[in-house]
Amino acid sequence: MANRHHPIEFNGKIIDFPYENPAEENIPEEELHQNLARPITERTKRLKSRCRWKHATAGEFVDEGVRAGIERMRLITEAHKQSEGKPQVIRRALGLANILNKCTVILQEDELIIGYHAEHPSYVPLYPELAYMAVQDYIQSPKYAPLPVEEAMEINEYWKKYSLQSQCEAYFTEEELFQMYQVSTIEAPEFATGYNSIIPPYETVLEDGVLKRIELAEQHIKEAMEKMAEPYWNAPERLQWISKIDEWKAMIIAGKAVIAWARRHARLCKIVAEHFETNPKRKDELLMIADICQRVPAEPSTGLRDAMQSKWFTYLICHAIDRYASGYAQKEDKLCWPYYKASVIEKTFQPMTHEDAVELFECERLKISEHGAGKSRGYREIFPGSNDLFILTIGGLNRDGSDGCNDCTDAILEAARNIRTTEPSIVFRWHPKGREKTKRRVFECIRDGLGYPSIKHDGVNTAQMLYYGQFSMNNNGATPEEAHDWVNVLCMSPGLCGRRKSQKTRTEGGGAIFPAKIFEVTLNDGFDWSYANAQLGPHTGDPRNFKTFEDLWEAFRIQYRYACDLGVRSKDVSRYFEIRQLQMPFVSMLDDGCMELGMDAMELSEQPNGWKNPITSVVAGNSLVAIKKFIYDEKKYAMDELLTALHCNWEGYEEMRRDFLNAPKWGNDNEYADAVIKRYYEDILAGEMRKITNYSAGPVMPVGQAVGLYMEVGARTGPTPDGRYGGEAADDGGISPYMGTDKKGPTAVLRSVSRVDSSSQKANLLNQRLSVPIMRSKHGFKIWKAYMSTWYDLNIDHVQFNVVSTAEMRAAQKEPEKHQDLIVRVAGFSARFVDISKYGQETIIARTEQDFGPEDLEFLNVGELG
Amino acid sequence: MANCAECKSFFPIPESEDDFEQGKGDCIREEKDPKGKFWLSKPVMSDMPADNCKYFTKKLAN
Amino acid sequence: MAETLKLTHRSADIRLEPGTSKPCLKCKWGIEDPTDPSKGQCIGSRTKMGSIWKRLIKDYYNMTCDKFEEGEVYFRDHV
Repeated sequence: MANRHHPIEFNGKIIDFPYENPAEENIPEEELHQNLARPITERTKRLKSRCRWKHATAGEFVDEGVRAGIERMRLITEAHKQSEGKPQVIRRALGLANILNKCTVILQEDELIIGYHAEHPSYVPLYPELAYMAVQDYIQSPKYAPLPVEEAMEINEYWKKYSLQSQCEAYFTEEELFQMYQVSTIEAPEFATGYNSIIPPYETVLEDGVLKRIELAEQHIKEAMEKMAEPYWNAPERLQWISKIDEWKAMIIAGKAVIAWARRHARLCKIVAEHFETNPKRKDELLMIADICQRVPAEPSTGLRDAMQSKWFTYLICHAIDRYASGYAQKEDKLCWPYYKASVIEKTFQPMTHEDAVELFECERLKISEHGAGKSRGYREIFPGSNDLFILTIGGLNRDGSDGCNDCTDAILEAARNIRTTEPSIVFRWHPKGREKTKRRVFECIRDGLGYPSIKHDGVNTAQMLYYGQFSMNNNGATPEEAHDWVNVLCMSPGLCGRRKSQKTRTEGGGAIFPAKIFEVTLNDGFDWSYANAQLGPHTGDPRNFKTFEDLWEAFRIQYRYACDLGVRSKDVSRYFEIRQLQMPFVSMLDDGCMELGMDAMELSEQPNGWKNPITSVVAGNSLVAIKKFIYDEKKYAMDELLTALHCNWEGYEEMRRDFLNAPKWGNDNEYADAVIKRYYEDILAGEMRKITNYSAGPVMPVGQAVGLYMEVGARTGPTPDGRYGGEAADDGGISPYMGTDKKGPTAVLRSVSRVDSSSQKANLLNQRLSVPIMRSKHGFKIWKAYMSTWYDLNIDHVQFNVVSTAEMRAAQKEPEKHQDLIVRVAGFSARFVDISKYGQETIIARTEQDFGPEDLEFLNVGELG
Repeated sequence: MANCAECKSFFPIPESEDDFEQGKGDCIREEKDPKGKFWLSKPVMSDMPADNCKYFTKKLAN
Repeated sequence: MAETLKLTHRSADIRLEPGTSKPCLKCKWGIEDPTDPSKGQCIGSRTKMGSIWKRLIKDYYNMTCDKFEEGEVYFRDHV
């Protein structure tokens, strides 16, 4: 039976917590999430049941049959060989064109949105021009190797000298490469993994269509050639036109290839309708899809079906075919609103009901769930139980300050709640002006245990866009209006979206460093004794000689600074070569700035957006608190004793470990701990990082988060002074209390977190697990809204929720086949619980399930609970 | 010797298409696996030899 | 820096033996490195609490140790 929350006394009354849906009282708590899916049509129910999931865990794909394809590798290599001698940007465009002209185009039964990016719907493409090690890993794996493997080896060998990885490696020492590649103090650089992110200018495709962009580029070439020919020749002024003309020419090549490729889909649909399909209804549908693919993305979109297909084609090019990129960054409700309005409200183009729109969004979710990311092994480790990071953004305010929520926002949320997939995740930008009915839908998704939407503070992040804009190299950073148009680039960091100024590469911002491991090596003069057996940081001295806590603080600062510098340097070296070798002419064509200026999207940067992700921060923070207390303030232990205990993994030092474990911990509104940790976040995590200037001439700021790296890096981190054993998981989110240590209730967590000045940080992930019986009770929405209102007033950047019972997770561990719909929030993404390793499952179970007591309800100003 | 033009999977690309070339066609096949049915389209030339193609099926005369 | 802090490194028993017939590559407790295919990670060290405390294998093809066991660990049982 369901577990009803016990009555509590509040404001002089006894408050009961019956379930909002009385039927749920009869559903055993171990089975709740298996009863929540309700696909809106039989079609989406069928599509979900046959979905070609691409979840990965511990470096492996969960489903059988997923493997790397060879087609993209083959076609980009063929083009590279044939285009020798041409300007590099043209070579890149010809590479894309060759792939699009010759690749396999796929249609699956039942689909409303079509298109895939490899030669088989279960395959993932590879990118030998990026990281040769990432491709080598696939080649060496019998399960995943592209076939024929000898050809794949030859291709990878061909590309090695041209690859981004080889180009960049030359500018680092062997020691630096070793330190980065083994992913314990610092994440491997983009050039070694091929990992990437982008915010494509979808708006341009939907509003203009690609044909118009081609015309614009042709016009620019004409004008440039005329300027070149004007008397009197002026070399310094006019030689610059050459690279611009090449860029516009490349845009045209790429644009025409994209149109032709989309139209190949039209032809396929028509032929299948006429020669293969026997169901008359599906025949008509295929002919409708054929008409759509013939028109978009060549022409502007007219209705919602056009928009969804045009967006999907653009997504495939920008995120998979031209180059790999994680993410699904877009302000989807704003982007689709004109087309939703035309189709659902005005019914002038592609008329449909709101339910039809929901079906389309459900179809989109399933397309994303099937999307195969040919990413490196490291990235197959760190999003366990899920596919890749796919996060779309909704809500917030419009440019004119009005509420950004609309009926399209609601359709997106209803689709998410109905179909129950781990991807795409959703970010909801919370503002007090946001309408109640949309917030209700947000609540229902969270209450259903989806783990999303995660919530971002609209005001804090809009202000941040303005802050970064002031560093713009061409004085064209975000205007106050444009600052409202932001989305999460991946799971946490905001960036502008729209026709111009969006982030086009991960080298601008992203990538992790690991304070827990950095702290560990600080205690060993920069040496890693527990994982790599190597010097990972500078020599900062024997900690037994640190006379004061400040000595330790400064040593840690130096280690952290080293990791930040190395990390950002590796990004900007990657950027240097991206500009010269990995141009993206199709993406550039879509950006109004690139089109106007004749510059490539890798090079043009009008809005800086630099960041780096400290992950495992709270282990280091709690360790600082414990050391300060026991070694420097109370002097109960000497540093020598602590180091010995750590090197023994606390064995034989159990009492000492208990002391350090029970030292004040972050997240309990404890003044002692919070003072140290506030200073740590502001002075070290942010303070040091902000001294760095990136390619875009802006500061780099910390984005505290975790994804699954808290498990991976935890496994590579030895015992730490917060009482952790070696190999145990680290903290599961940028500013989240360590699992199980936040014991004073949910509002104590908010009070702790609010002490860190959010404007000093770029973002900080806060994971909270809320009580199922409270959230599903008739008071759930009121209590949660009060919580969110308080969160907003405290200026906290972010929060995301798990709403899942321990009983259900334990049941799922015993019988995973019966719990395929159980989704949990890991950190920054959601995962199918049964697809996470046992190690990871235990970390979710260990998270404190926050209950709301009378003091919490009082603090939240909940008001009357009838 | 058989060639692609003789196969039932060969569909000539109309002249009006962006990717038209004389003799070029789409090779369109239906496949099915435990996850369901799907159709693949690859560009081929009509005179490409098809003797070693495991999917070759001679077109029936009209 | 006092050498005592370096002595207790955990990988002391993983030794280089070029051409070994028992490389970490084939060992049940060896998995691939996240970045460099020539390296690996040893997942053989499990703590009492159920955690997996990894060790870097600097040469996946030519290193071995006395705890070698042929086989594979199901990916749900490591991290």
